[in-house]
Amino acid sequence: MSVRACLFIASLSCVARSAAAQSSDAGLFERSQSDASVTSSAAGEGGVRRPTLHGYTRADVFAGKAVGRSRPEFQATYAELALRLGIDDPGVGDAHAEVRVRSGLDGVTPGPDVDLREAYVNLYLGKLDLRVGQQIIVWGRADAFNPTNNLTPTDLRVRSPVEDDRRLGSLAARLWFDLAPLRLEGVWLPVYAASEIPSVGLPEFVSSSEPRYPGPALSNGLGALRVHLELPAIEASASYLLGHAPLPGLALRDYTVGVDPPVVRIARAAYRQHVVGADFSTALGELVAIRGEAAYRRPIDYEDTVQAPRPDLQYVLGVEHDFGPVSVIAQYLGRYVFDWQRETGPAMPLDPLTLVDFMEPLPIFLRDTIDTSIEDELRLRNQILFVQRARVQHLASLRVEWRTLNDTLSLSALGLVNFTTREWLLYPKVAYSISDWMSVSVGAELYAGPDGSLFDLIEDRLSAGYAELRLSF
Amino acid sequence: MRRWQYELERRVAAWITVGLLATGLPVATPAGAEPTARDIMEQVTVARKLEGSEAVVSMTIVNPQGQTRERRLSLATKLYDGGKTEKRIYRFSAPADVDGTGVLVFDYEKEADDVWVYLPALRKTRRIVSAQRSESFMGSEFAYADLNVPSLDDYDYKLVREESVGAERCWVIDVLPKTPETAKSEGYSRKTYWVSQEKHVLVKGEYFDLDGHAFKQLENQDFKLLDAKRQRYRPLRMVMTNQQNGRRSIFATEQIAFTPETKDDFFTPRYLERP
Repeated sequence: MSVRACLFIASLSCVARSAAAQSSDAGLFERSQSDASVTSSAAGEGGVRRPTLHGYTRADVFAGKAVGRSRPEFQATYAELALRLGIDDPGVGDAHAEVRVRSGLDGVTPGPDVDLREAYVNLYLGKLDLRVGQQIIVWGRADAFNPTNNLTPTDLRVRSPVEDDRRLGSLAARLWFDLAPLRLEGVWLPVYAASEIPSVGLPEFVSSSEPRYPGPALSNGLGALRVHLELPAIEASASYLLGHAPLPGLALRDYTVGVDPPVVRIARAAYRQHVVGADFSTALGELVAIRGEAAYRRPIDYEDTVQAPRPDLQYVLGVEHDFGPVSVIAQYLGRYVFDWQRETGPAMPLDPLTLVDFMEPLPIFLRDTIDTSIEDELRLRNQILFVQRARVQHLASLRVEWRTLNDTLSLSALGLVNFTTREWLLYPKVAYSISDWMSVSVGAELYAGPDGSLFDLIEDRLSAGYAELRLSF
Repeated sequence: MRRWQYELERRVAAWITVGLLATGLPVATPAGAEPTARDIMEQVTVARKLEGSEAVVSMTIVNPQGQTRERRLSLATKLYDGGKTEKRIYRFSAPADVDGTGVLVFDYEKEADDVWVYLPALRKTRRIVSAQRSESFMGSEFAYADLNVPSLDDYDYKLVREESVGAERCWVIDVLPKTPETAKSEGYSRKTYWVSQEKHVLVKGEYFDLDGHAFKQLENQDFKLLDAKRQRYRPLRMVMTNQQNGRRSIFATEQIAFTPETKDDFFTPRYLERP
């Protein structure tokens, strides 16, 4: 360890000790959040800080169409235990971890699965807050669809009634520096973690191989900065990000010739991008809350990177209003793709027999022809994957929730329609609180779109109805 | 995280304001003159403000069969702008589906409040707007209107009589909405308040629905002197009984401290987002 590093750690320790000394007079509010004993009327002023343990046990079943058929089939049926541990040193720092143990058919892993979803430590140093460890980071003020949120990955294969369950943790360092009314935020993700999507059908002679993801080198990390402006009347932020995109594209790995059957191997491959974003929210009196968000992303060297999308600008503008017990969030979403051209696939689709009939080494012109054919096919699939099938797209989302029966019954739905591509999704849900700790929910996740569209490709695997029984503690 | 939870948190703020922070000041009237009902209500409104406070509270909902549901939270409040703005922060710990939810409220004297909610399931802070005042707060018998500080100018006040409630000598004041719109917005055609002559806090309230039928009854109990210098009291227990459906909701302050030096850092989105 260098002398400079030692000095830095020593100074950090001094600041932490100073903060700890100041926190010894932590008041009731701070102590009550970390120490269950404070919430007991028997607790004294100097309550001991005890770890807190929360979590849930749940059982879920998802049923939809069998892939490629019209008969019903279980898509997922599993039981899950989640444990959330919190340890708090008020005013100095805290640590949090969540472990999930799942058993059953969940659409992702075949057997029991243990996942350390998050495990991070916060350190509060006056105006500087630091968080390091496995964590989930969410940016953006729009509802559900956030163009500026390009940090930690998601797993769309996860079957759960809770949208947050699709988020994945990543190893990260995150800091905030308070310059009220400004607040600076910095994020560094040293290790790449990819978003996951359901596998879609590949031609018979095409197989998936090991993904091409960046290794854990310093130069492969993701860095991002965000400046928050936080005023009573409005809050806004501007952000910049440089790093690998969480959602990788598809790239050609290799292929064999002269064997029967032929094999073409493709791989999920990451690409680097710049993303510049901004968002805001405000309210018009007690009438509506208004939120907006936009991001321009520019993949690096996208012209020569088959797995990268083209640059695009995504924007969201939404309002939220309550009609008595019914709350409504309506949003317009748009996307403009720069340097756009419609990918049509290979002019001469690859005939697998072509590969069987030749032997290595292939003539250069023939290899170029085969490469071009495969890559044209991949560009088409990537354009579908990255939702860039039109230069300009217009979408709308609507989230409605009605709380009734003394707030024990919730009827809600989230819908999204892409008017340009005619794709849509709908998440209706009914949730009932049997008691403070036990709840049951039933609902559905429905996707649809024209042949060859993204929602059409994932519809078989993700469209389903579900039921869940949960006990939280 | 669901929308009703947004409302829960922001309205708890209001409840605290009216109920737990209800404090007393001498009614300013000429020597020997009897205060008017409006004078009394103005003083109740002004005196509710506490320089700073921190508390741990719970709300228990009891149905006619005796089954209960409970919510718990901790909170901090502080006055700014010479008392014209009250900032409040709340952190919920139970039930499980609201655990970790935080709410930040800037309560202005004349403007609409600024309210932010941190929802753990969303992992971000959201600005929200008000709900309808007649709606139930968190499934309890308290309506949002019961928890908010109403605009004094929206009502006519009538001093009906003086009488004792337990050991408290009270003014009995009828509160009548000036317009049908005000009545409809909060769901009451009339309210009657019993205001302690010593402590200047609400001791009891009766609420009548839009048809004029008895609807709900409020009882405030266990008053604690928090700010001795300004003689400001807070009821540690509030019970709202719905006379039409037999349900009861009980707000209980388990711990409370008068803290004029409450940290300013609490009332920031940065603090709200801390786990």
